[in-house]
Amino acid sequence: MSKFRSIFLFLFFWIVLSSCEKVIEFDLAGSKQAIVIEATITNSKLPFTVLVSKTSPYFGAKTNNLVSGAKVSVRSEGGKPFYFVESGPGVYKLERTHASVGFLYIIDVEYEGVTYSASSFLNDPVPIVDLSFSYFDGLGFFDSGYKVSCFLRDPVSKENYYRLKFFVNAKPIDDRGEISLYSDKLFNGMVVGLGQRSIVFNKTDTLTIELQSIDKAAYNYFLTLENIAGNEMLQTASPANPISNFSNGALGYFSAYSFDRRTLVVNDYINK
Amino acid sequence: MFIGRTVITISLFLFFFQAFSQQKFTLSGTITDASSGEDLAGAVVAVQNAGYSTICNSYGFYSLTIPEGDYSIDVQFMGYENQMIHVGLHSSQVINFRMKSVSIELENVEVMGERPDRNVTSLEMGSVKISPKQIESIPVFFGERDLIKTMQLMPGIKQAGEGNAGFYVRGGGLDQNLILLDEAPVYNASHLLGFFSVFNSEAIRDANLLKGSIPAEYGGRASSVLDIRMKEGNLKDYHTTGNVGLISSNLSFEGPIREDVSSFMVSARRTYADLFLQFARDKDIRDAQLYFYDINLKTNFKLNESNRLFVSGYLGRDKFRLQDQYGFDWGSKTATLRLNHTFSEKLFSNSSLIFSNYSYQIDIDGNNDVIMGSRIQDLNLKQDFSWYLNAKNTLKFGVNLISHKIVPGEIEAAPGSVYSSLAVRPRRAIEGAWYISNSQQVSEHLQIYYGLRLALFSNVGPGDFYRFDTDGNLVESISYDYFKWVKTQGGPEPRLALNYQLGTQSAVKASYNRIYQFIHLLSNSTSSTPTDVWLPSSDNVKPQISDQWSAGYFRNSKKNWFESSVEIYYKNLQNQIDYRNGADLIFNSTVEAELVFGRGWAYGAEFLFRKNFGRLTGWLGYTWSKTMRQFDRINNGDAFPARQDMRHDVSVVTMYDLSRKLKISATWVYNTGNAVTFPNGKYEIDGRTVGYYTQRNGYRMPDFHRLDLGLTWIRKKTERFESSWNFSVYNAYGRENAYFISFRQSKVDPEVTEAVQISLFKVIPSVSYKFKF
Repeated sequence: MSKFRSIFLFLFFWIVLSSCEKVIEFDLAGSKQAIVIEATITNSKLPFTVLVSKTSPYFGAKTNNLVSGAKVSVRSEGGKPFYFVESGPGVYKLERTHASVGFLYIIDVEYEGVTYSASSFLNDPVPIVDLSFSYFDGLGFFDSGYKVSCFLRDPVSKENYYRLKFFVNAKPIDDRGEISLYSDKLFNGMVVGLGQRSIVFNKTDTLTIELQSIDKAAYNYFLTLENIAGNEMLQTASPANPISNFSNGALGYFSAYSFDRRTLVVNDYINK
Repeated sequence: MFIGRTVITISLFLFFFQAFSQQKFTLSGTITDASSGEDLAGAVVAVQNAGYSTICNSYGFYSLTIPEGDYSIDVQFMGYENQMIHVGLHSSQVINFRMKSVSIELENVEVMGERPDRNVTSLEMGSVKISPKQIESIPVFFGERDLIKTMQLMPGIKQAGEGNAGFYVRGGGLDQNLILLDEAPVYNASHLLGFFSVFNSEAIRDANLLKGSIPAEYGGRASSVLDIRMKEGNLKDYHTTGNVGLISSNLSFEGPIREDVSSFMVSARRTYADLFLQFARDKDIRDAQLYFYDINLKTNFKLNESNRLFVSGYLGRDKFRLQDQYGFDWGSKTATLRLNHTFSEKLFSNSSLIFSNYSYQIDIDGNNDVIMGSRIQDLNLKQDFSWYLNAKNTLKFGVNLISHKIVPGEIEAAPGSVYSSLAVRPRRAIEGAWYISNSQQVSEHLQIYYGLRLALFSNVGPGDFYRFDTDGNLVESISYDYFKWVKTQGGPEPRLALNYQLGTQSAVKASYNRIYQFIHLLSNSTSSTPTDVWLPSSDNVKPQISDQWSAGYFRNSKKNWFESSVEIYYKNLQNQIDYRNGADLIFNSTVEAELVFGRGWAYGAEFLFRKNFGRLTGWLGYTWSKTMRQFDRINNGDAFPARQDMRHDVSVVTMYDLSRKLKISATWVYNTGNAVTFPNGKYEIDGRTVGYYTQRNGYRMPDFHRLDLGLTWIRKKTERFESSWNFSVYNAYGRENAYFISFRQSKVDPEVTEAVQISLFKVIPSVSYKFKF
């Protein structure tokens, strides 16, 4: 909801003010390196992947500072651990395993003598029931193009959290840092069409829509991630690191999620 | 220590009652402008060669009780000719003074209001008074004169972001300023996201900002009081005043309803920023609406010699609408009904009934299918007495009861909409205050003020109240019914001040005050925005408490032509509010769970040198200050500088009369950049580069400085018609001040990270035309 204010602010500045933008030199102090873990497991046949890296100086050339030699394992609550294999520097994979919905999973990452743990609950998948496209004329800073409404039937029984991911020609779309997140606070138990804020598509795009059913911790992580990694106009006054579910001060997140996916050519759908 | 205090208390009472031993009579009445009949608040009545004097209250009433005898009474008000009368005081008398304003030929002096040596003689410290006349020739932003922006040029008052009407006083927060318009609290004082204040300067008589030494009749906000009074309307003649500017115009009309008995004033203003949208390429933007308007209205009736009734109101609204996409409007309404009653020549009473409302509405899809909104509404009953006991003691006492109703958020969805209707239950509370104070002339040199205010705040039903565990998870929710009292908080607030005069030209002053604040603004953006939500104190939210100690040295020289002062202050703030990371502040019934609590402290020194007379007038202000906050749950519990922590702050304001028709002016401001949080490193997650933050407000924005220039050309000035042009240039040397700095992946090469500075206003010229007849 707080985004409405920000969108308004943005439009206001865009319309009224001749703001000017320039790249400047700014001295940032260095800091102690911190460990960053990105871990996802799903109920599909895809391998589980965990990326382990370290932070680097802000103006350093390379962002991705992956580290080798971590010991990564996953277990369901009360179950025995499965160990990941390092498939490339800092990339840890576990193949031919899949997670079951309705369970709590725990990831342990041991690196340089410290163990970082996080848990995530794998929710039931919520299927995409329908899709519809509409043309958006563009508005100020928002581009024109096709927007999609992804319809789902929200389960009544509990709190649900969703993330929509879009891939065009199999490449993930990252439009100005938008992360499409939804909580069913405002539509519990309803059939609802989830849309996008600024992402638009072309007629010729081959589009993959992935509806992820995530848990509350992942929702909070991505919400607070968007506060600092999204569009600068939408950022908060006091940026802080996203709320991680890892222990011992690791950055990053662990998300166990289920998903439903549709792939289509936008044009086919419009003419349907 | 204890004995010392007792001795002081006893001796105060001795001074207090000593007055009854002689035969005394009271001189009282009103002081008004001879041509318009309006009250002259702040005029001084002095008894020659006897050392007695008093200052008119804000309703133009004075009262002075002195021993029987023959006196010469001198009445002074700046910009007016002095009046001297001889009085044989052998019984109590009512004498009303009508003051003539200084004629045009003599007008080599700026009309300042107030007594020339008030800086030194009054108990006030940490106060800034401004009347619209005084700021007439200061350069303006987009051709719009603005009281609040002029206030921000004084030491100790800091602007919340460039061009913003929000302000910080002595390290306090944006919500810690009590902004009163004819006694009615204004909850959001800005238009167009803060670039204009809601106060149309044509409708304003005077404004007084109290930074420290806040008297007991005020309370409810922790840091300052901005008391703004509307014009009352000319009791003799009709006048029309208008301003035509680049993006706004206003028109005012005033005059008598019945000569010398009742008058009215009405003033309206509208911006037409949306006219500029016509130049946009995009059709949606050409069709967009973006404007604000406001209307001020005031009328008063002299019912008889001892009763006078005032009715005043304000209505302002901002509107923003994009065809069929989005609509947003917000604004305030206030209304005040006041009765002045003189019980006797010594006892003056003011009773007020006050209404105030702030609300906003968002129409999400542009066709009213889904409307979100929020509002806060106050009903306020106030009774104040001034008892002019004798020449040495003036007692003030009174009571104030406010009923607050806050609707944090509601969504009204049309049937079939994708959203469902939702309402966060309103919160209700009663705020009460009782106060008594005395300002006492202890000796020829020493004046003291002591007062006590008891401030209490009770949450009342109907409403839902919550209990949370330490992680902010909801444990219990309790519904209360009508008239159920839930929780009462508050306490006594001592207010003390003293003025010790060193000769006739200088004085030292000191003060202490404690203030409770029971309603808090929730906002996690850098400036006040229309969607800010007010939250009442409750069982989960303790009231903010501020304690401020200040001391100062004041000196006037060259027959009060020059005023100078140094003030130091220390302010301690308890129960300050901040938010958990990712806090959702809007439409959240359990928003209290998103809050974290801490403390704050601020200290500083303020230097002011001011020249009030002559062809060259203006001031030079400098503030050195430090403002800190500490929260157990933020920044690992380490103290960090507040956003408004700016070490150095300089302002230079000059106005020069080239001739009777041409006035030029210039203002220059400089301040250390505010504290800001920047990343100390980066990492990659979810395919994007993310900043790594280790310290809250660990960095500084670049220094801010700017020069504004103004030229006022008085084309015509006669008894019947006046007209003038004002030309201003904002940011004359085109300094690119950083509005914000963002750290991001380069658009050219995503592997590279860069710092990008956004500046808002380069050179902005403006012109406005003013007329009066």
